Amino acid sequence: MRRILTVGLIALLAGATAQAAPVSRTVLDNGLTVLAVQSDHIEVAGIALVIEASGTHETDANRGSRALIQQMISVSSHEAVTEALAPTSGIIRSTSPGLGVNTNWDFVEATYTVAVEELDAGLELVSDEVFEVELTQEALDQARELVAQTWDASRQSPVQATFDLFRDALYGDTPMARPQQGDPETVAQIELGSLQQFRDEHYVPANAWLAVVSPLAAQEAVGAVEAAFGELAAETPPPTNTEVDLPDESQVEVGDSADLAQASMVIGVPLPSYGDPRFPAAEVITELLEGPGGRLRRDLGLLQALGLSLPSRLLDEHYPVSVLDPPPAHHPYLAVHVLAGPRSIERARTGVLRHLLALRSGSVTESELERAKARAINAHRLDTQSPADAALYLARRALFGLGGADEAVAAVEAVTPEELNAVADEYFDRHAVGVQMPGV
Amino acid sequence: MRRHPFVLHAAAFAVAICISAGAAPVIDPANITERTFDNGFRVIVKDEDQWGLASAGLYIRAGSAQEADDAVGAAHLLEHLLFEATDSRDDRRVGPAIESLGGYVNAMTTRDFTRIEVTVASQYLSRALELMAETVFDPEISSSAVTREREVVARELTDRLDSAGGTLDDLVWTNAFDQHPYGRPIGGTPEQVTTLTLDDLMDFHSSYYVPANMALVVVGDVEAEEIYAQAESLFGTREGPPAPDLTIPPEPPQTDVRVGAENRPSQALLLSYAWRAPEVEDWEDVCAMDLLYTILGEGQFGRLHGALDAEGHVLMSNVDFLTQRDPGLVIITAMTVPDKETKVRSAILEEVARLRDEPLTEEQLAEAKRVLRISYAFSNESFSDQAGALGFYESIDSYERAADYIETVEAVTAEQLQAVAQKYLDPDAYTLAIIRPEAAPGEQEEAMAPCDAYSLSG
Repeated sequence: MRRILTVGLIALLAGATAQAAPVSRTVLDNGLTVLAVQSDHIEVAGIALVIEASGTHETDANRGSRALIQQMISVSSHEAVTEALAPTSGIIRSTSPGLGVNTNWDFVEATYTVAVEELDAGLELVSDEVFEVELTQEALDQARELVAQTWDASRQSPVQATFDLFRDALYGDTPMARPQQGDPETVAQIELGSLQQFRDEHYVPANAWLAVVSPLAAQEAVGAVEAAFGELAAETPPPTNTEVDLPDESQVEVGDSADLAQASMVIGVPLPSYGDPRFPAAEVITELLEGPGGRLRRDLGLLQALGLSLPSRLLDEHYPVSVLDPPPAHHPYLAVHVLAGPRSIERARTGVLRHLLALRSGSVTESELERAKARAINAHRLDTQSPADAALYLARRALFGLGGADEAVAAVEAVTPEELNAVADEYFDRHAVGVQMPGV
Repeated sequence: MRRHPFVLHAAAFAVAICISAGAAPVIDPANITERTFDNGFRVIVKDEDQWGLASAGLYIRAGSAQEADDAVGAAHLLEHLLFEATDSRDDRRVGPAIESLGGYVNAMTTRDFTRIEVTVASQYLSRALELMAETVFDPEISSSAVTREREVVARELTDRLDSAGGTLDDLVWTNAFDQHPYGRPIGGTPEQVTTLTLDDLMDFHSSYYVPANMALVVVGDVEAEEIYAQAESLFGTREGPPAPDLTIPPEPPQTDVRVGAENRPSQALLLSYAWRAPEVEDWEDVCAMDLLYTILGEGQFGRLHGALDAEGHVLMSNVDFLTQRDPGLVIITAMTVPDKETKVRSAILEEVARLRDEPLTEEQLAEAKRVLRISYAFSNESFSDQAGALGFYESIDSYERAADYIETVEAVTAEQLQAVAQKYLDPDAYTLAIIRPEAAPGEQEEAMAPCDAYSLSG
């Protein structure tokens, strides 16, 4: 019944002891791409579903649809598990028995973990809740309320508010500048019919990647997926839309917050797409700057320029300069969050910017490069710690046309200093700044 | 054993009980090897072939229970110093050095052992093991570092006591034990920590941080022989005395109902019932107690959920049982509002009495075993979890406990279960701790008065 386009064992060796995790890739008749990995050391199954429903697909009339659907799936799956008291895996994870659902710029995702004996039930749950759950007016009203609560909670965080300003500055009038969790104003405009239409158009198997990491043989897992998802109708999804009109110039957005004692700033630059062959160089650049031993931490002049007086032990645990993880997206960023005295914010900006611009032509020592690559490689490997983590990692990468962690590690290991310069030279010609000043 | 802070169990004989044909056991004994070097240092390796990831735990069989009476808090303070506050450069200190490489690193102190754990890409494990060895054998600690770090730890302990949960925990353990050091808070009190000296810490280090008292557990995408070779070079060639005697005089049996109560500014009321629990040596009792725990408190499956949470009597309820080297406690905790204290306490004691008085049906027992097995599978879903399970048991007894856990659970009968409930969940011998919302000053006696009224013995 299923149409197997590819059943490949992707096996790239990377590193001295690392072994390949064979990934089976199958496409069902309805277009769902299934990735399966057999992992003998576990007795649970991690399930991750990624759907290419992007912020670019949301129009002015239905902006926030994905956030609403996220809330509806979350509530509905929670109730399904709680009321049915099954699968048992949900009972055990009683603090969060439903699906883990999240909305990103370029896709939405759902994850679930079950005991392997309950894989069929777990897959049915994912299939039912993501593709077939009934969207009712009552559920929509509840979802609107939840979006509003999430919005209010995020407004309480000065750091989130600073990031929002940065996002506006970097992405201008594009979907990436919008809050992915929706905002109360826009979701209030969305009617049930419009929401259903959006779901029917975008939440279809041919637009989705499903990964299962379990102790079952890959073909057995694929069979279970087919049983749960195979009957879903084959629909043609809208084309991928990654073209956006980003600002050409550097931008600064400034706000204020009475909750802040210090100024809060996010400064950053654009990066190549997560699926671009140059992205591994961007990862290395990020790690060159971040963490103990990174350039931003070693720059004592920058620390002094922040105008803060902090005990050394506090610096170990809460360093006032930190790099945010670049998101898996078609238009990601490299961003640095800085806390500084209100009068020191400009010195902080130029101090961080100096490090970013230095990457366009500056040299990188061997030990720096080795450390940065180690951080990037560890980040990839640690992303696969639990079965659900590993499944999500594989599904996300597949959406961008990428293979598993072995492929990612090999790409990072191959990065040269010249490639770092090339990425910085091409992408760092504009920067964006969001600043929150202490208000009164 | 259940609900220790980081993992559940492992099962070596899960093949026998595996309910899904073809599924592998959670911790496959076929992949586990062990070696003991001439100096007594032990290494356990579970060798997998996937994910390019490895977890390593270095276990020192000494925790707060091994501290001298005049050096309470030494185990925890020493762990802090070794982890990140030695005088070595950043790239020689295990915490900052592993963080700099982007790996995961953590350290913890329990009553029975101290652990440093690392999870990194397999290709960096060798570097991580070097750092771990240097950390435990060649620490560079100065008096000024001790002074600095004990202030940090004292602040942490003060913060902990500022929380109702921390205070409740201390009330339970200090009241449940008269003599055994399990009754002391792990880490000591802020006052005790501020008196510790460099000599106190070095005494503890020279007594317990010796090769014969340590074990290294590695789980992940590694070659076992390579691990043994490196471990021998880093740990196996170190000289050291024989393993210290870890025996602690046993706590006399509890024969009474003990009550500890405090008032704090809060809207909610927190209470814990605690009974003495089996030590790891009483292995069959431990596994039976885990089943009792499951029946009582495993999420929505647990009877307490039906009696308390589903009825809206509590904001939360929870059951804890941590297997330890010596007899510990099984603890039932609930958070409620003052008006419902009586109802909650009655419900808890009734459910405990049911375990003693009513044998389980075969169906109930089978379902409890199934839930426990699934719970255990969840708790061992990563290399880090499995290294934690093996290391935990190796620290208090033998890693093999992690391997025969499920087989022992599967063998428990309804009669055994009831017998264990009757043996440990004594209606006349338990500890009750209560944190009530702030009452008027001097109301301590009044606050404690209802406790006696709900003693089962009464």
